[in-house]
Amino acid sequence: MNGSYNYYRFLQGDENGLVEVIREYKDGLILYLNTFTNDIFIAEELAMDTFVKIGMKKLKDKKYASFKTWLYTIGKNLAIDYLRKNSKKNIPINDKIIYNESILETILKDERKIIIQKAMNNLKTEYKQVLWLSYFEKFSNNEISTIMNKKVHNIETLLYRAKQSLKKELEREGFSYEKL
Amino acid sequence: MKNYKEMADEVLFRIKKEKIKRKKCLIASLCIIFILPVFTFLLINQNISDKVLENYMIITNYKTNLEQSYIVPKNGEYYCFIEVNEARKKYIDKNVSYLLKIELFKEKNGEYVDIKKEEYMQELKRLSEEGYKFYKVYYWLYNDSKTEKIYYPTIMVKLTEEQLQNFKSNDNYGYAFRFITNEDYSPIEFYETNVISNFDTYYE
Repeated sequence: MNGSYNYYRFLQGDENGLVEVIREYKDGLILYLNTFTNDIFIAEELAMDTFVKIGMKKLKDKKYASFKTWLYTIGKNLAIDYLRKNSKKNIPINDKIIYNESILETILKDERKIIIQKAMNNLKTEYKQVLWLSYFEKFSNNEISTIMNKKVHNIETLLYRAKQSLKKELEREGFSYEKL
Repeated sequence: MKNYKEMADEVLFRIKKEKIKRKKCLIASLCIIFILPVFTFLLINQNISDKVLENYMIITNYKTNLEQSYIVPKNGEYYCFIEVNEARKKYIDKNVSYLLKIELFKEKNGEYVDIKKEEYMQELKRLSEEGYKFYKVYYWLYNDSKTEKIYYPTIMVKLTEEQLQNFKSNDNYGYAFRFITNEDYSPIEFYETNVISNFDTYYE
């Protein structure tokens, strides 16, 4: 069973289909959206908005290779809308980051992922996103190009530069990139 | 942070709410698209009908080529000039009123006698109390050299077909109903606001 099967169940009138979709994709989507917002609670709200949106409209566009790609693309568009609307608001971030990190550790569980995630926090937003989609969500470059609305070639370049930045960041923290 | 079940509950609730909202929007849109134009059309038509009734369907004049012989009505009877009867035939099925001049006649011992102005006004007052509406209107005639219009006031009554058929006459008088026009046969101007309530003053 996968996301598109459960989503199809929901479209046929079975609400449990959407419950399964949420169970399967909730955490990954929230963490991905957190790379935009740097606020896990806003990311959670945006994830809910994403699920509401897919509950209201049907997947018609054939350009999406998978249900997950479509879901993340909608999430990304909502996050961008949110940032655009709130770009002029000053949000204090110091306390939020510490709190976010403790929640992320609970979600991620894996120590290796926690180290990478912490290091990624200091990277450019685009680097964070592409690394997240590639390492944590295991999307292919093609799929990432669809979600980020960039050409595959640009994604490859972006991913290479993001890896270099992550390597430097990890080394600065005393970790070895290769071991991770 | 919510667990997936809590989140799913909230998402499903929001989807239902959103769908209801969309349905309402759809219904509102349909109302705007279909019902509003119909309503507007009816409203405009209603206004037109009102205007027709107010401005045009009060018959103040009717032209006919028929020749008529004038009959003086006997006491308690009434007579309509031929133009009035022709107009009544034409508008029999329509919701119209006629603006008419009442001529009053009095027969005494087989002879017709003049009716004084005060007596005339007293009879109009009685008819007014019976529910008929009288109006002060002006018609014009040319002066002797035909270079100037001179306006004269007169009193006219507004009657429906039903009121004409069931006219509450007084046994002391005979009545003749006729239209009044200006000297060039153009219709007189009529205003609903010029309704007469005081019959102690003579208007002609």
